[in-house]
Amino acid sequence: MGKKRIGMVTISLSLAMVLATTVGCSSDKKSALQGKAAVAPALQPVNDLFAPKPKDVIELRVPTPTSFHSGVDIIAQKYGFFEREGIKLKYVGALETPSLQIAALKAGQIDVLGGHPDIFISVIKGGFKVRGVVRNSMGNATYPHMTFFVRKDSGINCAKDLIGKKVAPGEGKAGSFDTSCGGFFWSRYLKENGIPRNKLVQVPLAEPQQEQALRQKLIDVTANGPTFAGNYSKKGEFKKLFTSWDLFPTITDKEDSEISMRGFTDDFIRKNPEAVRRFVRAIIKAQAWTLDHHLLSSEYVGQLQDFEPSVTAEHHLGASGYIEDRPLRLWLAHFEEIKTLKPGQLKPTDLYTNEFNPYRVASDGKKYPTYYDKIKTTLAKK
Amino acid sequence: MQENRIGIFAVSLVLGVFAATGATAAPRAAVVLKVAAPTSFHSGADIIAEKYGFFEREGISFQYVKVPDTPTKQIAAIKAGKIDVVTGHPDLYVNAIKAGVKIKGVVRGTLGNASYPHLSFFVRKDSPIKSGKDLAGKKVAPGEWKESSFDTSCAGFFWSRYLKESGIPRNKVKQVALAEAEHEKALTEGTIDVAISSPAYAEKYLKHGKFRRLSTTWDLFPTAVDREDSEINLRGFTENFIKKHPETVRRYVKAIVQAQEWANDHRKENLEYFEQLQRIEPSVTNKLHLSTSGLIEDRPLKLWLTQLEANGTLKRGQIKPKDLYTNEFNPFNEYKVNDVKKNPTFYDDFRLNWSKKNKGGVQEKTDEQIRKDELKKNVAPVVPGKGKTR
Repeated sequence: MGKKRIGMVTISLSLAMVLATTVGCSSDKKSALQGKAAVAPALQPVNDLFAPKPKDVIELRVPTPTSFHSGVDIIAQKYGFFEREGIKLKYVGALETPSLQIAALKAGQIDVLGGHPDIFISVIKGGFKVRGVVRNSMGNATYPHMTFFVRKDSGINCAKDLIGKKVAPGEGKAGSFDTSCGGFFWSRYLKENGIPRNKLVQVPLAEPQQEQALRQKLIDVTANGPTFAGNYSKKGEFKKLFTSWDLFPTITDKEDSEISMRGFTDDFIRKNPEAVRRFVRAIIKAQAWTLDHHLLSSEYVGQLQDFEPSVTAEHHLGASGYIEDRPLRLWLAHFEEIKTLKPGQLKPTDLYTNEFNPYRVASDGKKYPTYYDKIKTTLAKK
Repeated sequence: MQENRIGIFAVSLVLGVFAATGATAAPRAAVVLKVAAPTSFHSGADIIAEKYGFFEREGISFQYVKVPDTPTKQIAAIKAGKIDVVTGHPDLYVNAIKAGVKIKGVVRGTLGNASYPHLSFFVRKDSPIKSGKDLAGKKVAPGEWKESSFDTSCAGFFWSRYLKESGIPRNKVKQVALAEAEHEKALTEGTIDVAISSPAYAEKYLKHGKFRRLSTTWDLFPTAVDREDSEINLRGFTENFIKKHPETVRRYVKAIVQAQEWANDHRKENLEYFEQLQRIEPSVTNKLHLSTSGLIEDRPLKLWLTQLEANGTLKRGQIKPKDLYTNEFNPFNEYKVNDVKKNPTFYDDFRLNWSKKNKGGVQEKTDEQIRKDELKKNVAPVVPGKGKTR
């Protein structure tokens, strides 16, 4: 009986959906609130960014926040973006390197993977199917993702002075020129300046140790996320060599280059599409809100990294969370160049899906002929 | 029988939408809004919202009315009921309220960004003007319209700020008000010494290389937060319209907020729209940055009100920020900071432990407090020193 009922409801609803479209186009005039012309009644898209609050709660296991990458999670929790989507996070402990995160994901200890494209590439290369579902970081001139510092008396003023120098390749103790944002931006900087990567000595150090190491000349260049970079800038003891925003020729490339994503395994996505949908909605809204409140967010992430809650710095985020091929191509091309990937081994679309992003419905502007299109046509004729 | 059928149809329709959304959404009535036909970059979000279906999904369509987008013409048009929506910087709202037209901003549009400054100041390449300090006695376009002045809109606001920071009294500079389309010729011929240009024109000038960019709006104000704040503009309705059509306003705000989020992430794809709108060939690098939550705050409005008071346009305290806006219809308005005692998050626990370790409670600060503290210390938050357009 229970099953039957569900069957009947399904048929009724399917019919209703068909009817909804038909009726929608013919009942304009009476429903118009304003003006002369009238349009079809609005149908909410299947995945509305501002969908009503669900009644149940889904728990997702995630790494405990330790860096600026988690700023948006703090906002999403403190301001109720997760709660509104019926999402509760369970922190499983700090997983500070990509390899620890990958291991935890494979062991089923976490549900969500976060990082730059290389983490997704590594997991996929390891035979584990995983996909980004929402974009996080995005380049911005005021809020660069990474900054590289030298001692003021180091004599290092440009890239060519780096030959033979010891550098922190990233912000983690497992960093290298082949991994994460640190490695990606280091590689780009050296390439733009014609310096082979093997002419530098990589000394991986966790970010909190880099300041002292630089002072004691154990390293000559640090690689820092915004929090540490903001603090170094304030203290004024070190000199900025370059930032991630100084690289790449165009603003679009600069914005693209910082891409990071949150994702799930294909298996999790298949089994829990609603959880993914809600998670993506919460992150998008928290990101959009954060972009209008950079100062507040920088306070949170600064303190998370054990700094006094004074203004430090912050990175920038994608407002729509929509993932595109273009930024991923930048990263894939880089990995093909350094030969950690064979040419064409992975395509951008292997790394992500926008299926759970409410903005998916907005991706085709050609569907909607508008006032603007009329102007364009008139201009073209002229 | 006929009525019955409609009744069944209606129920089916409700169920249909419910099935499609998985939500308790009922079919909503169609709405047609009367708006000024887009003519400038300020209408960028509207173009995106229409082009990518954000308005359609909210059941909103437009009836375009030919109304120039100058503040005074918009105020007159909304007062006469010719248009339902106005778009403008805070001075438009201030002037409307002063004239007895009760309007309120309901969603924020522009927000400053180093790569996409709102306005740029251009001089001829061979001009002796090297900085704001050289402007005394010069002829300048005060804005993008024939009715522009140092007292109106974004151009007047940024001109006033630029002159103040350069130590030049406003009356030492001669205002030659011209429509923006005439600036290029006037600057070339020497009718004016400085043009003030919106993104599409700025891009055109940078491309043809005949002029030199003197400064931009991002180069003004001491902190990154001020620069982001300073560009604020708002879309708004009359209080009467809001009272009669709250659902329409809600839908409109929702469409604009989503369009702005989308537009900020898809500049490359969307850029040419604005430029063609201004009859400039699409050059694929339009520059305009938008608020992604659409939430309006007191802080940016205070910047404007303070300046309008300094200019003598307003008496001190005559209008408060809250008189100019409401966030009631913004879907982001429901998100408020948690009660750290009743509903602490991971961060709150972390912070508490941090405070204990560091011997002393740490008060959570608001944006405004943070900014004030930084200004006291004379350290610009986020980016030390002056802005640099990149």
